[in-house]
Amino acid sequence: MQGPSFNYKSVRSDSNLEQLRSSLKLASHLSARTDPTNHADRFEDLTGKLGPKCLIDCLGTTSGSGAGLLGLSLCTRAQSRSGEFVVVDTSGTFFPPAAIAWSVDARNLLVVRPDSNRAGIAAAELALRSPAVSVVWATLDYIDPKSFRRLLLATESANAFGVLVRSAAHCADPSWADAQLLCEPVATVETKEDQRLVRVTQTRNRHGPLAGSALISMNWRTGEIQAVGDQNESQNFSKNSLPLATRLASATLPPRAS
Amino acid sequence: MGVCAGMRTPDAEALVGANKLTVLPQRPFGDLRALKGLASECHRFSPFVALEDAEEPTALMLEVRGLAPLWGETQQQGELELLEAVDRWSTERCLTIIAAIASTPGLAWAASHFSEWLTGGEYDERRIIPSDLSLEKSRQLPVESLRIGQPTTDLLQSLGIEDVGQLLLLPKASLQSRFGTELLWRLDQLLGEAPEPLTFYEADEPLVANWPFENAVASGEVLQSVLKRLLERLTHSLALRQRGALRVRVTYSLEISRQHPTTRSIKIRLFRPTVCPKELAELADLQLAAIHFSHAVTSIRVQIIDTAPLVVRQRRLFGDESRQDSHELALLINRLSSRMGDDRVLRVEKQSSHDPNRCFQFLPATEFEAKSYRLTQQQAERLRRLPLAFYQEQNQPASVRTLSDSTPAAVLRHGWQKVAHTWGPDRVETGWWRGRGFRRDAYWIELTDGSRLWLNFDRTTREWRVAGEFL
Repeated sequence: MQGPSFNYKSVRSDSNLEQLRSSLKLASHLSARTDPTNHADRFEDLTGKLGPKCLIDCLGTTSGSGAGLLGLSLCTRAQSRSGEFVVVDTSGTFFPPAAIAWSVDARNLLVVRPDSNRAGIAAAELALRSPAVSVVWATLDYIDPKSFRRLLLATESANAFGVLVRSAAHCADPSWADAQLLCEPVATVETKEDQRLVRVTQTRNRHGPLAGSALISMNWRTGEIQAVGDQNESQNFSKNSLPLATRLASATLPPRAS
Repeated sequence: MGVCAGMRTPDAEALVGANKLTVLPQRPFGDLRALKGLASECHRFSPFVALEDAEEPTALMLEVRGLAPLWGETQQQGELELLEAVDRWSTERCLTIIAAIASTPGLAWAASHFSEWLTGGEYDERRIIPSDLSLEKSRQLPVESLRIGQPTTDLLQSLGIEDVGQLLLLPKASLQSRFGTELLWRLDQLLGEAPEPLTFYEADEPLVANWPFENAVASGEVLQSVLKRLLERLTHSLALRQRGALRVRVTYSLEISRQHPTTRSIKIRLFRPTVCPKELAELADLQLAAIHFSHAVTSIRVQIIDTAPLVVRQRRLFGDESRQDSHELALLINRLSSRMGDDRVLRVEKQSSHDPNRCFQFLPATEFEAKSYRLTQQQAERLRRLPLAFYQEQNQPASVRTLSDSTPAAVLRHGWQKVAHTWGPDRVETGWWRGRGFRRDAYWIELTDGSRLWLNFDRTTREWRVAGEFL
């Protein structure tokens, strides 16, 4: 049942990494050149697809990977007007004011702080099954295949959109998520304080071929999380602001019957 | 140790010793619930018990007129006995309660709070003010005893008016024009010249159902079935009163030995009152799934601890999605609270503070509705700069090498890692009035691999800490 997988270990070798980078660079150039649509329209198209009954697994390699913030951004875009935004905070470190500043509506925010990973999985499942819930953002650790399958079934049975934020150590574990995104911080020579760059790679997709990777800029001053060009082009930040993370998460998902 | 309500943190810390004071946020809702519990117990002294008419009540008013003969032969003796009974009852519960008896609620409140201002007699005699001495005793009380706002009290004191006696010398008309209507109204209530209506608290009749088994039972199905029956019985009684259960306690007695019976209890707390036994049984099952009974069960006891009026709504022809969502949300919160504990399912409330630890507070979702959290553009910018994962009180100590200007140069994280970029410091010094101030320099650092951390340098302890990680 699992989609094409990304061999994380093999990419560790520098040659493969370089090869992948060059192909991604080429792909991003082609994408930018052949896409004449208006950014706003595209944004609406993409967020429209990023709706209910979808489970995304965001993996972060290290502190500052941006997996949590990217997941949060996907959730805010997928959230309908009504419906709760449930945060399952297994680590007990979630800082709500920061999330609210990143456009989470406090009037719909429900924070659950389970005392264990197992309880966190149970809480996420309960929340995903509830018709009152619009999105679930959960920081979890290892999820056994049976529980993962239950999470997916919960997502499909209700109308919630779910994002699981986990460590990249679980990249090789089985995943039942619709898509799995690997987030890695990108070090640059001239880093600006107000933004950080994160490379997001789609490592699994249950519904089709992998969508590749994108460089995402997260700017705390403007509150924007958007795709920029290749790393080399990141210094001038081309205004080709495509929410590629959104596309990576959902572009190939077939619509499910409600 | 001398620590009492209303005391400032530094004063309390001075009494108990440095770093020995535990400071917890105030929980008005919990206080109110506890006060209602006391009000319920106070029905042993009087059939009429009311909560103080205030936004955050801290006092109970008992109507004791005509009750003195039940406690002693004379009026004075009876009232003294009654006060002593209240003292004994509060001591048994490790509570410090100061009670007073007077002819008006206002005077009783003032006498209980400011008895040291009253002259004559022993302590117990000072707490009982006969009606013929009401005016005389009222004159001795300070202006704070009138339950007026702090600005009015400050204004009166700045004019040299310290007690009610001085206030009574002034013409009433000028009091109203100078200090507003509240002062005059409270003064009249103190003297019994204006009514002070009390809303008496009606304690719920205890709703308890027991099921003793002839022989101890270990079958989960039997226990489930019996629990459902007991809940049906209780919810039926509740429905007749148009009330629903808010808190339910289920106690299982285990067969270990006749001499040392052991019980296991679960508590169900609900977001909205309900009379649905199926919903209650389901919530109980969620908690029971995590409990292992070491021995067979000899009896089950179900007690409805707290109830609330049921909200009756007319059904609509074409449905109502928002109402359905609200019901589903209540179900979700109930289920999560039953499974995780009600202190782990939370709403967020904004607090006014520059200290990130104190700029919000978590409140149990079973007790509080969600509130809006408005941020200005500047506040939002400042908060977006902070990490999503924030180690509040439990900051992780960090080993940091610094440059000559005290900025971090390397951090010990899986070996020494060089800091590629540093932003800061962002200095915050606040909370000095709480005795334990908050003085720190915050640095945002980026390591060579691109990972970012939020480091804090505690200027009091001179220690570095990882205060948060950018998820």
